[in-house]
Amino acid sequence: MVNKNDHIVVPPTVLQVIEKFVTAMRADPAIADDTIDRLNNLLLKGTVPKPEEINAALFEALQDRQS
Amino acid sequence: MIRIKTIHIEDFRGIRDLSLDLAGRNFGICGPNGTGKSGVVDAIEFCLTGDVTRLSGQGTAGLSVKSHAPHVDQRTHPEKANITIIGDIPSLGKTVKIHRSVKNPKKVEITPNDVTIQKIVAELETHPEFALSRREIVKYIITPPGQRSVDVQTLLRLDHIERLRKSFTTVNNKHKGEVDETERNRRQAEIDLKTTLKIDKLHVTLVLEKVNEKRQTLSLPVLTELTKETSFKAGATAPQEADKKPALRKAVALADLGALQTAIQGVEPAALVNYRQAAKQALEKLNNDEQALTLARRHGFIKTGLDLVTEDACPLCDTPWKADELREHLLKKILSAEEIEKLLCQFRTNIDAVLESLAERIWAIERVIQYSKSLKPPVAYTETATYRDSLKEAEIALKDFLEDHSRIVPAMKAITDSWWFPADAQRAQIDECEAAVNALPDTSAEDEARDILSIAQDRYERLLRTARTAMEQKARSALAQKVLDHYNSTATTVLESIYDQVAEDFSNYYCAINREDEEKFVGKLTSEPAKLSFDVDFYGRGLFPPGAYHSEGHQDAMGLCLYLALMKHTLGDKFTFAVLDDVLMSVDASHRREVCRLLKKEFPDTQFIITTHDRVWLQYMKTENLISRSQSFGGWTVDSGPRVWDDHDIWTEIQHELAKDDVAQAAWLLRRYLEYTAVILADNLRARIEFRGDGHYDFADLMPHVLKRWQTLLEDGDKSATKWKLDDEKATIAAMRATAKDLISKTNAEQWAINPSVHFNEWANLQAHEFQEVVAAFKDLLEHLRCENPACKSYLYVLPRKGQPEEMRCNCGATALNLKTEE
Repeated sequence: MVNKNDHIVVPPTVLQVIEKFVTAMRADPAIADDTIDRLNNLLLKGTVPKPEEINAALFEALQDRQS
Repeated sequence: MIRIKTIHIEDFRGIRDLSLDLAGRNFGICGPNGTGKSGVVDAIEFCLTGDVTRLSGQGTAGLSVKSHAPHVDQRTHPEKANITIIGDIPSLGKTVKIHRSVKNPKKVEITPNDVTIQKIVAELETHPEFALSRREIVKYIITPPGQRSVDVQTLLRLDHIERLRKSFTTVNNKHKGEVDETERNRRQAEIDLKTTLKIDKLHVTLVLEKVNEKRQTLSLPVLTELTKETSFKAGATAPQEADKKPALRKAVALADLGALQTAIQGVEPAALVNYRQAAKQALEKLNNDEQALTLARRHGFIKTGLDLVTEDACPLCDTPWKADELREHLLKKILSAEEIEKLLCQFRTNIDAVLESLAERIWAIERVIQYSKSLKPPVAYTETATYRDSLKEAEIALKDFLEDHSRIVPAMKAITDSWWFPADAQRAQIDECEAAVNALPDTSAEDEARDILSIAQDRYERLLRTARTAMEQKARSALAQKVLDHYNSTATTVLESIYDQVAEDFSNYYCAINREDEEKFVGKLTSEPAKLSFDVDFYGRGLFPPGAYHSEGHQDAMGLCLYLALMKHTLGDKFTFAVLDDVLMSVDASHRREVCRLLKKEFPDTQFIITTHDRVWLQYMKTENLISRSQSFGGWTVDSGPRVWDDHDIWTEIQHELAKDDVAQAAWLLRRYLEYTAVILADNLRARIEFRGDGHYDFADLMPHVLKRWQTLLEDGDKSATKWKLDDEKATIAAMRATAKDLISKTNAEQWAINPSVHFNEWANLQAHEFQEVVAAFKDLLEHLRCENPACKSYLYVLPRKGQPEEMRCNCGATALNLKTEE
């Protein structure tokens, strides 16, 4: 689930979207838990992540394995 | 947030030196156009945010806060343009002084400068929308759904959600593009392997059959299965020459060249012809439809232009246009252009298929050039290179068109010209290359088998690599798509919930303003990714965009209602103040009272600072007790700024004139005030007035009927109290009736119907102490028509507005007389 760290300044509505988004992904067996965790951590940083950051969060493990 | 107590403005915009005492309460600023009202609005915005939207928003090219916020005579001395606001912060129970100078707009001085106050001020800086002008409310109403989504989400601080969606979409699109690319590579690798083995289909049996054929030539054991680890050349002892991996192996080169020759000597594949034809027809249609083509070319330009329309002129050529009409004109063009965009999407598929065939042909021709170079002596390939270049040119033209639809002519050429068949000179060089390869010394059957197995092995491995990459990329793309779908679905659900709440509040507010004729009004906000549609009911005939049928005044009211609903949702109990800069100029008088009541009822804790150029509107706000303080501006000059006088209580003003013994002026003031008040009372009490076609009613036309109506209503209230046996209420009404009779008699107002001019003239001829009695009589009479609650003081009014009167009441409900005598 969403971890609301003290230092994070994410608007409440955005937090609501992220929380529901993460829940929806958890219910999808096609998406690995570690992928969801990385994405969740990224989204909670407070700023809108760049596409390359999202890409890295989605495929980090795969890229690590390949390298 | 904050409630403003005082504001001091120095050399800012059109103002030289001005102090306003708002006392943290609703405040009205009234004055003709060009008297500095908006200067106050700008000053508030600047002090709290460091910015002035009027100087830095859309359509303000060439303007800047630093250069143009100071008074024109101090334009080179921004340090002299200063604003100081003293305000209360209800949530902290603290008073704060905020000072900002145009010299350094980003620097704000806060006293006391503690962290909690700093946080509030920082929050204010991110909410410039507390100041709303009429041109800004329109953007919530008449705007394309895509732009509305951005505007509303910005106001709701939801732009984060939209930008996140864009990031996910970018990732998804990137992976889709990579799937296409890797699939093209896999497909090419498959073609190469099939060419090498001279098979039509890539099937395990066929591959093993051809490979084993070559292996048998080398007396190698037959391969029985095809796996990722299978080596076609396993067991073969390659001669040294083969180990060097020569650039040209006769058998393979002949296979490649043979495949190309087969292609160019046969007919163009029917599928490719169909794709080209479909794409060509669509392109021709677009090219022949001058308007459609123009729209496709101008789509981006029009979108930009729409954002730039802020004044009553074209932002490009300054041709006079009414801004609303120009916006509508551009919107129509954009909608048409979006239709064109749909058309373009339809033949994107056809162009993609053509591009794939082009890539295959380019690959084959590159190989011919490579062989031509490798031959000893090399074979001429300039014509072949020209053919390759023309193919690449066609490929670029089609790709460019997909990126930019204005590049239609090169795309038409690429689709129309048959690139499938090389020109004679080009074909001659390909033939020459093939002949030269053919002329190479024949290798032994064993060497040829070894060469083919070696090349096939390379191509098989490449096929495995590209297939794996394509598969991985498909999986990535599927994951990116799933994540995007989940995000879109989630964000839409959350946004819909928010929009439903906002739409409900909006509808309620709008109904409250238009209770007489649009009681069943509903508004609907529909959220889709990157789009927010807004439709409103039109007298039960269906839901339509707000600009479709509703008048400008109704649209203004809708803008205000949507703004209030959005602010309520965004700030909740932090919505402690708002500046409404002439936002209700198009709302007619009959709806203004309802606006006042709406603001008072729904936003009792919000401080509204309202500017208007309409003194009647200001009076309405006062009568309805929306505002208790106001300031009137007038006589602005560039040297001195606005001339300002306190717009204090009318009775004080009259007393002021009497103190100067100016009875004529005092009489004029009383007459004007009574005329104005009589209109309100006649409306409130639903008095029966003789109709006048010109709509001009003076005091004598109205007041006698108003007072008669008042007495009739009290009589009805008495009957009702008797009927329902409400003794206390009956006693109260009896007292009211007696007071009414006495006060009306004192004013002698009923006699005005006979000869008003006599009375006015009589007033002017009275001595000050005599007129004092007239003033006191009218003051008492008007007080009698109000609610006694000091916090309310509204004039009583009859409900419902039409039909049988049921109740006479005040705004706060402290006074409510039942008028019904039947169940």
